[in-house]
Amino acid sequence: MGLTKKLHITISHDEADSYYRHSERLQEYLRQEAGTELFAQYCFLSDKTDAPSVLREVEAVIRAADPRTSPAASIARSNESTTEFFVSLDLDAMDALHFPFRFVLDRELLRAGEVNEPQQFLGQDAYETLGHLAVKLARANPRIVRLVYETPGLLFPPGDKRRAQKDTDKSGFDFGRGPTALDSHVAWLVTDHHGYDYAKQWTPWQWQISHACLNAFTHSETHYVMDNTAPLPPWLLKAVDTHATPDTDSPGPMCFAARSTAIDWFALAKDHPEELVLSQWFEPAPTVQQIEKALRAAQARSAEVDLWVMCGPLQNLAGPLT
Amino acid sequence: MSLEALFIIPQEGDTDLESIIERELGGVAAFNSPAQPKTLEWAWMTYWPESTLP
Repeated sequence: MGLTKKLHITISHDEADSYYRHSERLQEYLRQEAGTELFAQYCFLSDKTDAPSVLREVEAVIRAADPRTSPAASIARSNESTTEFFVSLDLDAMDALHFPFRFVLDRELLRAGEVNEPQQFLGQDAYETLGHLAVKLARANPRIVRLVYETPGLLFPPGDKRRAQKDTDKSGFDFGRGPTALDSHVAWLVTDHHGYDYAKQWTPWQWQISHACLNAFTHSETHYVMDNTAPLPPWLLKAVDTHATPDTDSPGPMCFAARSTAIDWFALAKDHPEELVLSQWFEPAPTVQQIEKALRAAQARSAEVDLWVMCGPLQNLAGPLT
Repeated sequence: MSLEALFIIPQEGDTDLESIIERELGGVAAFNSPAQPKTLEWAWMTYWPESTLP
């Protein structure tokens, strides 16, 4: 079909440190994808960036590209008379919107016969995703392409480009300030952005567990696999199978993230009450029991349901590191 | 294990599910981006705000 895709991206975020992390990674990816059909024009806005001139320049660039496009807009635009798309990405909304984006796209690709089974090819992060969109969706029909570009949902976990180094010296760990590979990881994840005291909210044990889990991931062409070097209970490793992904987007020690109701977390928690505790962190938020009831109600009405979880190391979740 | 978000796509024509879910969730409204109007064609999603660790 030879669609020529022209993607204009505006990224805004109200947290400067996250903005720098994201911008660095996005630029790296875009450089790698320069040879694809995808043309990305990106800029960054931040409430904490004291650079009005930069913001004016950004706005000028965007408006020059399309006078109707506002840099403050967070909704995707497309000019339906052409195959040129204008996408504004709001990082604050990305985490929330990424999943429906992938979920709906998978469904539409299946319906269109473009694929035979649910795809994981959208990538583990925005950079992989953009590349795949440029390459693999060139053959998709315009409706699907429009669906993709009209959905401003991309997520920014690091994919496998940020695999943690193997740590051979744990003696000097100092929550991101020490010399170890674990320090490097913690510094990159939180300390450089949120400070030393922030990193020390968690114990060295929790950081070691999360780091060991990160190291246990390998990535095949379609999905991540966590091998048995992850310091997690065998039953949990078996349950997550290919459904877990590294979680280095959360600003704290995490073992993995999972986004599939192929795993019944509520049943697992009841089967392993000493090892798995379900919780939610936020207020206001439903209770765990309410969430389960809502999920069951939706399943009873044959809705498509998925539950996104993060797994962090709590006492008794995993044994000591060996 | 932190429960982060619940995503639901109702069966086509199932206009009752949304209110059922909201009731089960104790009145917590479904999250939707202001930029993305909620329709039953899209994944209907409950996402708890301020999704950062303590």
